[in-house]
This record gives sequence, C-alpha cells and structure tokens, in this order.
Amino acid sequence: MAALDATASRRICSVRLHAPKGHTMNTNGQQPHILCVNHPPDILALQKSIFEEEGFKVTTQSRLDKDLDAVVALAPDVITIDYMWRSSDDEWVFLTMLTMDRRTRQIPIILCTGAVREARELQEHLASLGIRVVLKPFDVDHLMNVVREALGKTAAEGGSVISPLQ
Amino acid sequence: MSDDIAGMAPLAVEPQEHCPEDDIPQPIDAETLTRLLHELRNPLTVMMARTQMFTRAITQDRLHGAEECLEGLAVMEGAAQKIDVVLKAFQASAGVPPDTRGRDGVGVVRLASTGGAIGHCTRCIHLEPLPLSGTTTNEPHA
Repeated sequence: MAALDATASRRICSVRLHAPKGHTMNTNGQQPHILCVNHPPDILALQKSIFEEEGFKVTTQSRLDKDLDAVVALAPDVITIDYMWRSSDDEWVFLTMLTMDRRTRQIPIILCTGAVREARELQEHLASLGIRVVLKPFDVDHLMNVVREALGKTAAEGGSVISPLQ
Repeated sequence: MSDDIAGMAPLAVEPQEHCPEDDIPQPIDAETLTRLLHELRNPLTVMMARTQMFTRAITQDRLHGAEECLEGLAVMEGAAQKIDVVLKAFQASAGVPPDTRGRDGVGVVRLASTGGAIGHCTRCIHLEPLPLSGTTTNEPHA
C-alpha cells in the first residue's frame, strides 16, 4: 500500500499534460506564482499538477516555513495552505502575521482543508483576515475559480468564503 | 456529524443470508465516525480531482501515449486503495463480519447528514445512518 502510494506520487510528478490555451496571469500580466502548503504528498502532487496545467509557477511545501522573510523571498502571488494548527498555535500565529505584515498582507491566502468543523468554527475570524476557504474534496474548476478570483483582488478586498463541494 | 459526502453511491451489495447473531453491529460512536470521515477527505480529493483532470485530458485529446494514461490511472488506483482501507475500518467499526466487508472492491458508504451513528441492517451489509438514541438499530432495510 505505502509502496504503491509512493510510486504513484513519484509517477504523477513526471506527468506532463499538454497545457490548454488561456492560462491565468497575475495582475502584472505575468505567470502567476502559487505557494502550496499541504502535508500529504499526494495532495501536494495533485495541486502541483492542477496549477501547472493552468500555467502557474508552483512552489510546494509539506510544512509551513514559519519565516516571513522566506515567504517574501518566494514572492508568491497566492498561497494555498491546509489547516495545520490542531496541536500548536504557531501556525495560526504565523498565518495571522502573514495577513498583517506590510510585505505579505497583499498576498491572498486560500485555506484548502478537510478540517471542515474547524474551518466553520473559524469562519468569522478567517473572514476578518480575508482568508478564503476551499473544503476538500474540491472540484478542480471551483478551486481554480477561487484562485483566479483571489488573484484579481487583494486579500483585504477578498473576504472569507466557505466553499463546499459544488 | 453534519457532513454529507455528496455524490457517493450507496454500498452496492446484494442482501446476504442472515448475519450471524454475534455479528449484529453496534453503531459507530461519533468520534470514530468523525475520524474516519476525515481520513476519507484526502483520498477522495485525489480521486475526484484526478478523475476530473484525466477525463478532461482525454476529452481534449491532451493525453498522448500509454505511459501517461497508466500514470494517471495508477494515482487514482492508489487513492482508491486508501478509500478502501478507510472503508474496511469503517465497516469493522460498524461490526460488519469480515467475510462480507468490501465484497465489491471499493465500496462506498452513503452517509446521510442525520447526525446519527452508522449501523447496518440484519440481513445484509447495507449501511444506514441510525438515530443517535440507537433504539431502532439493525432493522432490515426495505
């Protein structure tokens, strides 16, 4: 089982689908850069495939690098992140800092998570931080719509939207 | 528990001979149900999204070569096996006899958003949500 999963994850990383026309651009008319933070490698591989197929530059992290300077250096146009603060408040504090620091606060953040109850409990607070939410399992088109919408607005303009499976 | 997994078909298994008395299942407690449901979300996400991408690639004629097809299918197979593992755990928690678990491979459990626990009828392994009180457990379904 584990061997098969690892093989599958490695294999999918090598898959190169032929990208369709009409790629998404960032507000500067350039290839958008998305930072994906999610723990399961198969979810990261999936997100990488989805966003690369849409013409994004994709950086993946299995753990949140709690270094604001590192995020600034990466300069992502948008960040997707799983809910990772069950056992520690560090991630939550860092996420809050991301939304407040003048260097990063314009970066839209999308919480892409299966932690439905936590996301709903935090809905108001997430909204106040301008963090959008996409719940797993998600529809690919829906995820892309949320990302495109986020790219078209600053985080401050955004607002949180709990987005269940369509 | 208020989550419904939309679009999932009921476990499609024909009624069995009567389940042994000893194997009459007990409802799954809410904590176990929540954990199992949570564990389904990532493999379901992979399965759904990969299927969607794979289907789109085929219909748009963007997949060229058997290797690409096999790679895409292998990932979905991996996700399906994870779902199957969760299903087995789910059925074990519901007390489904081992020899009738997942008989049709990747069985899928329908979870209605009743807030109830899960059990199954006494005649087969058709799983149904039960009231939290558990007073009407194990009734054969229609």
